[in-house]
Amino acid sequence: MTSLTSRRATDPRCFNHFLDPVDMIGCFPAEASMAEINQLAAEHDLYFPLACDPVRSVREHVASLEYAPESTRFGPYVDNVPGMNWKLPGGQLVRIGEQVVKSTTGYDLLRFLLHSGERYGSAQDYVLRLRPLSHERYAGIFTGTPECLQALVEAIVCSSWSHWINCLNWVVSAEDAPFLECYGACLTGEGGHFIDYFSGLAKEHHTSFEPIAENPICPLPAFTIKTTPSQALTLASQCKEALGGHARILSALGVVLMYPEIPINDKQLRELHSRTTMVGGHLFGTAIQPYESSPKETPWIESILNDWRQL
Amino acid sequence: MVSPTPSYKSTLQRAMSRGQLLTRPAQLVPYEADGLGYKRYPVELVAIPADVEELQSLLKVLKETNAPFVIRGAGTSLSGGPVAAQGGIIIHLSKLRKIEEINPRDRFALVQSGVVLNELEAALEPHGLYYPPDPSSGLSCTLGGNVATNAGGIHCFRYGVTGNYILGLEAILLDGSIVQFGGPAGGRGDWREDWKRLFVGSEGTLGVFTRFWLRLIARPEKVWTFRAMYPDINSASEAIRQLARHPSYPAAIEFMDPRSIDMVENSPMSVGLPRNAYMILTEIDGPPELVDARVGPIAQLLRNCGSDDVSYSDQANQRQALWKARKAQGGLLGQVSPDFVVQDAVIPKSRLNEILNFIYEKADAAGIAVTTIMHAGDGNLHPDFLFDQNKPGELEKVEQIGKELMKKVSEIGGTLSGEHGIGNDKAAYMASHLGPLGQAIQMAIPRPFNTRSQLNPMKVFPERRYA
Ligand SMILES: Cc1cc2nc3c(=O)[nH]c(=O)nc-3n(C[C@H](O)[C@H](O)[C@H](O)COP(=O)(O)OP(=O)(O)OC[C@H]3O[C@@H](n4cnc5c(N)ncnc54)[C@H](O)[C@@H]3O)c2cc1C
Repeated sequence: MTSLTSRRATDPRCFNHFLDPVDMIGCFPAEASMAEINQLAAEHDLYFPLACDPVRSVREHVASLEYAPESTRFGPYVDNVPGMNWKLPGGQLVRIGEQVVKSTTGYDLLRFLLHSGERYGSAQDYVLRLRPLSHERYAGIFTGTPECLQALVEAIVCSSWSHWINCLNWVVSAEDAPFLECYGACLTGEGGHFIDYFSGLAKEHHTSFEPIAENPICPLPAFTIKTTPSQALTLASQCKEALGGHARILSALGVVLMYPEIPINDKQLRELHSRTTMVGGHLFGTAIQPYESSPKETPWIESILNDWRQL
Repeated sequence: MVSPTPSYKSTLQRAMSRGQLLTRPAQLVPYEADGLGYKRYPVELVAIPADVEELQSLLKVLKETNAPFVIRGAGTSLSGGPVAAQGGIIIHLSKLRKIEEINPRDRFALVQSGVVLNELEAALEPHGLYYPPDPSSGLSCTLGGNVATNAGGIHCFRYGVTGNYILGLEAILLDGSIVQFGGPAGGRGDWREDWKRLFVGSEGTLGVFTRFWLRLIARPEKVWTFRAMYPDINSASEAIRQLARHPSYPAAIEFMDPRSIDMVENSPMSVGLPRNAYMILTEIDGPPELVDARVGPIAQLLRNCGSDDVSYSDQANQRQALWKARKAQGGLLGQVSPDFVVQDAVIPKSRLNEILNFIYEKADAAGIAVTTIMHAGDGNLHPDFLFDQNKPGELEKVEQIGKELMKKVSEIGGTLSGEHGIGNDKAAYMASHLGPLGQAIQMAIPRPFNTRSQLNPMKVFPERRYA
């Protein structure tokens, strides 16, 4: 995809492909890669922050992830995708959501459908909220005992610095003790303030901070666990023990991105499921089958689908 | 209008031993309208359940009766949401006011739906925690109303709206069952679908909210407020564009037009602002190390866009003074005019000039006064039309302007509501905004939860009539 094209659709209200640099919003084909989108956005000094793997499409990201590392600062996908062109089960294309960033017009179908797989149809195009590009970046690694690192995480998320940090991830792997990676973008000239802040905090919490040149690479995970911040590290460590590989935890949000060496089996899945749902969390990703619908929700789902099939 | 069956009051009395039933005309009058005031709908009876248990018993008996019913938080809606549009019962949740838990470790609050927004804010402050959605009605509006309308506010340009902070919710459905969608972890819980997404912003048409798990963040440490005056709309628009794109991510970008400024300056709330000027207010916040160094560049940006009147401060009393005219504007509407309508639309920011001219032309031609403010970062426009419904034809003129404005907003790629919801005030415009297919897929949503539209009929879609 090198330029934005115009498209015809069943519903005349469907979005055309566009990029509005004033509203910092654009509509892109679901198959567009993150690199293509960010290339177009960069022409206007903008970017889409929730990209993990530049060669993978938006559709693949939405199927794998509800939260990307930069969700720590910019929120989940549902808060960064204001609209979609959606193909209904009967084949019609309909517009869902808006091309402005704020709306309370009608029921919020967008957030309901975005990560619903293909159960109610599928997205053809996504309207994405873009953010200003900052040209200075900072990145670093904290190491220390888990207790000291945990206290350091608490100190960061309880301070207003947390609003300005794009990623603050625990990394749990077989080779190393858990450590923290921290990176983001800032205004020109501010990088030094971040490094000073992190270095000071590290000293205060008996940990070390080492600046690094590049942001760590964070590919699309096999699955993610959405839980509470306090439960995330324990769950991630247990999963890594059982499945090998490594995990990244978005520490402020209680999101675990899992990269296991072996696939999760049914028993492990059931156990993980019950521990996360107990606190109102869930599992998500291409390696996870959608949950069975509960007896309570089955008639709701059938009613909605029946109505939509009849259109 | 549908009326309850005659035996109905005694049935309700049996379900409500501890709460209150209001039946006297003088008690019912305040419930006839919401913040829109001028539109009144007679109410048969108001029930104030003492707690969630009683609310649940009440809903069970209501289902068996011939009575439409509506949930009310504080009644501050500006879209005709909590009114008995088809008659019947209002259930007022003023007794569900407990803040049950503030959890600093997992950074959530568990609150009942009748908790008043500013009371939550006061309870969070000592913990250094912050719940950002801040509708200007915070002194009285409830979390239930905020979630039902997905309320916004001044700081949602950076921090987001109510829905961005809902980790979970508990609701009573029309079959009397209590459901929990999500919870402290903010996921789906044991459901296949993420139902909380549909319930947020559902304007009291899918179920009755009883509790919420709200996501909290750290309080901003330091705040700077800026006010800049512009001689023309083009320079004010340019300031909005540049601020919205600035990597210091202002928390708020607010706009007031010269007519709003005139209204303030002609009142006892006058702050000495220049006339015929457009005002931009913006705020940046963060740790002092970052935010203090951003002050110079932001002030310069405001000047470069054409303002020679830029003031700013980080002192609480001076910041309050900078905000004074903007905060006074809403309260003055009711003082300078017998009736008013606060419109709510979102437009692409590049079309601000065109839409303002459209509003002025229509209002001036009809002889209706209008003042306009805007949550400008999001393009969320609030034109306020002032009128007197006792003057023949005025209400009709205001309604006609509203209709034409909404059509125009749709045409330019905007939307009918950014934060107030559709209620019954804008329900008539939904068909043309959504188109037949868009409307049909929306109408499928309330069907399984509220099949006969007994709960809050005629809201969001006029076709949702209780029969
Ligand atoms: C002066 C003023 C300033 C305002 N400023 C803003 C602003 O800046 N931003 C903004 O977004 N809005 C604003 N509003 C509009 C309004 O205050 C908000 O929409 C608020 O969220 C409504 O809360 P409430 O408790 O008054 O709800 P109500 O007005 O009582 O009800 C609103 C809707 O929510 C439903 N509802 C209420 N409680 C429940 C529940 N427990 N379960 C299910 N449904 C429920 C009702 O049925 C109704 O449909 C303002 C209003 C006023 C009067």
